[in-house]
Amino acid sequence: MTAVRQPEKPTRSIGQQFLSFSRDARFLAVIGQIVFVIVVAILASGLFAQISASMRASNTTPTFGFLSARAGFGIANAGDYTPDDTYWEAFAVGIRNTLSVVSIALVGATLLGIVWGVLLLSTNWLLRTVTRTLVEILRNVPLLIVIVIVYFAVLTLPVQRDAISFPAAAILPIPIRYFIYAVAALIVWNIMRGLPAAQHHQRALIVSAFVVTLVVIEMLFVLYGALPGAMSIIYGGALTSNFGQMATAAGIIIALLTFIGAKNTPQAVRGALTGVLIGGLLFFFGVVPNSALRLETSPILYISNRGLVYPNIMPTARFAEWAVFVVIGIVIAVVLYLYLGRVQEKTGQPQPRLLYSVLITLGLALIGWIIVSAQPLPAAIPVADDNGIVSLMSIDDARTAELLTADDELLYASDPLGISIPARQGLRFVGGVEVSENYVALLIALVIYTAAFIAEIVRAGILAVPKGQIEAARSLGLGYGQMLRMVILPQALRVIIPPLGNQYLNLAKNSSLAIAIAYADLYAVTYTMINQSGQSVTGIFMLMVVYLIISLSISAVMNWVNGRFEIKTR
Amino acid sequence: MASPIDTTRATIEAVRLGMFGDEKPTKLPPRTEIGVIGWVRANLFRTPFDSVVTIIASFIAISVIVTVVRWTINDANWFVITRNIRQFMSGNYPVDQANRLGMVVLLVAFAGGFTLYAYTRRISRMPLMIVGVVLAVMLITPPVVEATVPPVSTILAAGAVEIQSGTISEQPVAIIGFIARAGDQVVIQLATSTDADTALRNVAGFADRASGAVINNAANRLVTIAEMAALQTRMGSDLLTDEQRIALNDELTGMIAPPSVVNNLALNRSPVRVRVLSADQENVIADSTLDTTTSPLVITLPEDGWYLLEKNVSDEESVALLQTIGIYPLIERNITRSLAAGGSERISQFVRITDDFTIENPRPRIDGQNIPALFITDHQYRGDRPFADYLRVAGAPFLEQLNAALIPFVLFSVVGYGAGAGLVTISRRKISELPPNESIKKPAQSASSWLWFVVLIVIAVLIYGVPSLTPLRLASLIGLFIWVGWMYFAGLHIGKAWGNALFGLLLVIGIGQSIISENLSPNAIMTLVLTTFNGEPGGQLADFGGSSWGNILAVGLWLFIGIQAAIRGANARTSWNDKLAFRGLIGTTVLWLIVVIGAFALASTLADQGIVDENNLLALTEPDDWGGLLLTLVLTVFAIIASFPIGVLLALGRRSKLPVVKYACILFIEFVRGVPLLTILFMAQLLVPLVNPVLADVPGVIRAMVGLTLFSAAYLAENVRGGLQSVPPGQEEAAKAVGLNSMQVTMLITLPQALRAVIPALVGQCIALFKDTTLVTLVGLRDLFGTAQSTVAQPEFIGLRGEVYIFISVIYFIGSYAMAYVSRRIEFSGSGASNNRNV
Repeated sequence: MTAVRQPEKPTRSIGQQFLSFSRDARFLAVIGQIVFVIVVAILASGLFAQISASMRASNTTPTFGFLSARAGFGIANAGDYTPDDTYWEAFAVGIRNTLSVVSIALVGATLLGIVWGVLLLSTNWLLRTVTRTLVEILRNVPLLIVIVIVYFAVLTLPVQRDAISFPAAAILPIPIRYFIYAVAALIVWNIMRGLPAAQHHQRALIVSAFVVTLVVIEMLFVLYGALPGAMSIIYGGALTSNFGQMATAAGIIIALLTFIGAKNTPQAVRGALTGVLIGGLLFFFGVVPNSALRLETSPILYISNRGLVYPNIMPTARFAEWAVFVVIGIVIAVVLYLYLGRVQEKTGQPQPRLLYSVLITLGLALIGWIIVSAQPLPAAIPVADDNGIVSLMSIDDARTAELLTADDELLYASDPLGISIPARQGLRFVGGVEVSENYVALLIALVIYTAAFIAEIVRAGILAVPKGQIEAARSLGLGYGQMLRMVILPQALRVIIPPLGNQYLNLAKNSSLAIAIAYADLYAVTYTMINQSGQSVTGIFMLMVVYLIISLSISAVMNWVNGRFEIKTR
Repeated sequence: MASPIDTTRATIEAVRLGMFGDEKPTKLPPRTEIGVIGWVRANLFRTPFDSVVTIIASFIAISVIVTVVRWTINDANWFVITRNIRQFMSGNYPVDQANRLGMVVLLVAFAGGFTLYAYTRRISRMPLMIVGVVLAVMLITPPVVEATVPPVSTILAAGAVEIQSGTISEQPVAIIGFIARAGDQVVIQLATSTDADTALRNVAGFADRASGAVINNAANRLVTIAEMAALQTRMGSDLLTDEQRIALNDELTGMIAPPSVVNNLALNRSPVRVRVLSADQENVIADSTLDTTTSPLVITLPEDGWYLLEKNVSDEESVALLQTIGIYPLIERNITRSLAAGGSERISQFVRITDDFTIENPRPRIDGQNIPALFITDHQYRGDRPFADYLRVAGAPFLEQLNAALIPFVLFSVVGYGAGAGLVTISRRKISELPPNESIKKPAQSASSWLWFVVLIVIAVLIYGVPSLTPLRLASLIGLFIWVGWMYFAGLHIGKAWGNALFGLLLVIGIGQSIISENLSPNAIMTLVLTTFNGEPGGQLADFGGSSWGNILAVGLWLFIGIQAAIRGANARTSWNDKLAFRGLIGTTVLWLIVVIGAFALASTLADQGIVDENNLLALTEPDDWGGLLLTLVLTVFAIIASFPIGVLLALGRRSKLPVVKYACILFIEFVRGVPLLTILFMAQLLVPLVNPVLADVPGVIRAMVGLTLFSAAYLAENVRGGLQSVPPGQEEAAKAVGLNSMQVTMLITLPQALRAVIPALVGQCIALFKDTTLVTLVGLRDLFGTAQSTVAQPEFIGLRGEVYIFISVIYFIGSYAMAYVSRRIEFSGSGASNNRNV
């Protein structure tokens, strides 16, 4: 073993020392960062000085003071906001409108996106293709164009005077025979269940005979005009001639025969012939009743080119009392749910805990409703008449005299919740909630556009679940619902949630396009504020801060949700 | 001995015929499990629920398709697109410079064809045939339509009667102006089949307001009668509440069936005096009195220009409907044209909408008043349009416009494809000589990236322009691009005596060429130096086409690039065999000669013919004049290219170990990603002038570009960061172990893998950016969407929103769907994240 000779440390001059120091990566990093900060600081201060000088020159020094000045511009559909209110209140209206659009569109886009995503994986080719086309169109056209097209589509709706009402005011006939059909269908279904699977030809015969019987009876009713309009309700008046209806019915029969008759064409045809015979006999001997329930419908929803009017559910003065019952119900339900969950874990016996919880909540809500409604109303209430003279009279009298205001109605209602259904009054509507046409258009556009992207995410998420998982779940004997709930969804959600959060962020930011159709969202209001006051820097600053807060809260929530679904590793 | 296949066949046959005694003869599957029926059963009628869904879905799908097709053919007024196509494509880009945009398209076609050859294995026959058939149909349709479909007629009313239609009343115009070409034949006759309201309602064609009112009245009358009948039927139904019955009754009693229009207006019952006059009213070209018995009046017009049509009905109570062929509506277009003497003038053009016939003669005047003319605003197509008329009015003209652009496009793509094939043939090496995993198309592939680089620069120059460009300068400028390649191939021969001499010669050529292309001369350089030292730093030399120190710098830059190419060539000597290296040298020399001489000759010829200005071949254009699809594409491409380096730097910065850099990058990225694009664009428009008043002159387009670039960079940074995270840390460690420094590790190891992994995400971002450029409309620019918005706001095109929005939606759809398609192809071909999964 030879001794390692330590190299003699060479003496260095100061210059050399500095040189070696300057080659130290850590030192360089620190110096570099300091230089970076200094450069940025110089640039920023120069920029700041320049901007403030320009603003002083144009007499628009940034200040938040202008927020308490009178705004002086109107905002459509802004509740109790008036031009006399301050800029600050106008800004608050903008925030409120943006939040309202974003929150509702979030829910709508998620639901629609899930439906479309599932339809994209449908086994039915037509359904799949139609959905795919729709989704591709929406994904490949700019949102701004979607918004504008939807807006002008909404504007082509009828004017308020001819507003489309839903359901249309009419008498809806429900023929008695439909109930008989339902009962018969149940019986047939039971017979079918009793048949062993091997006897599929028998099944084909029964199904074919049953369906053809019904179709034949309906066709005969139409042909002989026994109950005019019954069929036209089914077909929405699209097919007017009897020939058209016959053709449709024949098409349905052929389609069904194609399905049933795959392996059992002779049986299906025999069944169809039997059906024709039975149907004809039943009809001509008058066995099928020719009467109908008459259901009178009155509209609760109006759609026009000025927007949408829909019923409003409002808490009355007694709502608080009822709410106590509901809260107690929910608490008991939650406790029961947790308890049954522990029982299930201990014993291994499945417990219907969700059903029990829902039943208890509903039950207590119902009991609460009955108790609260049963309490007596005051015999006489103070009512002011047109001249402002207050007098005591009973509620019914006041109502007949039309002296009850909308607030009074809520104050003296016996039920905890009041429903205000819109009604026409001249050209306008009273009651209900009115939303403007640009709000409706913006909402629809944002929902369908975002839903198209969410649909792709949902589709990819479901496809990402390995096929073996589904097969394993099946072999364990899980039902379809259980499989979906316990195997597919938890794994799909893990893939779905991160990109879903991105879409939510996009949705929130995309809502700023509302200005294209003059909806007073946050951006549009701030834009007007800046134009009115000249406070551009302050305005943009406030705008960006609010959008940042919205974005950050959405991503915080989505991060939390994502954490719940992540794979827990130890 | 029978081959195994034969044996198998025989066995199958034997089994089918039941030859083996102990096996049952195999039964063919039922007919309903294979073929079309089988497919339908499996995909459309799997379960009863499926059948119901299929029936409902097909009902909806068919009705939607039928509605769309019917609207497209019968109702849509497509002239709003065909007449504004220039606006939609390029906005206010100077009309006399428009051929430059044509060149841009052709360059893209060429480079596209080249790339197509380089990156596709083989184009299968099916798509080629489809493209061929589509092209053939597009080419054949216009002439066939022109030849077979009779021209659409124009309906004009005459008479002195106020025609009431709803709340408005219309009076027929007694004298009206129209434009026509020399030799045009005009046919005028009383409209036939106007003896009954039912026939009147079906009259279709361009119609003036008065005749439109007549036709409307007839239609209204018939509709009212039908409505009354329908109300009567509804009253008979037992499905009415009492209130509804009362309301219906009120409605019915309030309705009155109007009297017959034909009788009421004494339509075509008295003779009409028709005169056709020249614009100055001095020549009477035709004068005739028409009634139902006379034959149609046929006139041949002598010259291009305005004509007047005078029509009077002798009976004051009577109205006549004239059906004319050869007289068509027109629109007025105001254009700016630059004058030869400098400056520009604004002229009114009048364009006939059926065939784009354009005149610049002023509109005729009577007693100092403009006479009414057949403007499209008042003479729209009315009535149910038959398919033939649709083809004649909208289909054929649109296809003609499309063909004019498409044929050269396809030709240049084919030429580009051929050029790629030619390049590969010239530089073909034996397959055995190829390094493993290298495609035989490698030369075309590397050439195509250089080609795109050059093409993008040329496109930018073409769109923006170069001040005072002469044919000589143009030829030297274009030659310089080839010269760089030439230098590379010359570099391969450095070392041989003639090679060194050639290198020297090329240097001289390059210096000369770049000095010419930058419009410098020894004199100019001297003057520049002198003025600078005399106290005018960076002075501009107006005498020399605005030369400045920047031009001298450019000369240096070109030389630098050329020498770099030569050095690269010299270094790459070993990887080329002598024959190929020599071939490349000859090829580039020939190419250089062709390009320089060709460009000079072409530019001089064009200048001689007065098509372009000799001293200003590529005049500068104002960015704020760019619009339509041009602006959309410029913004998209610029933002993508410019945001790429920024985004990569931000991504690297975000992963940096230096906290200041890291948090600065995080702050920027998260801030930009947290706010809407609209606010960033708004900030760019509003705050830039505040930063420095000088910047207030920066065009809005440039500001939007900056805003879009910053926005795109932040998103790109996040994508690239994802890619960086997907690179296994072992790669970096191995690279460091080999001895690469951190710069080399990033540039050679990490970044290439990271970028490759995120190609699909980057394409997705391109699509998003392409769509997001629509937002610049909201800050006052006129991109494709902005042009649509301003078009539908013009009074001429009111009520035609559907046509315009659908047209631009289709353009956006094609653009982004094509990008998505390419992205999917790249993904399937093994690039992107899927590649990583297999590692």
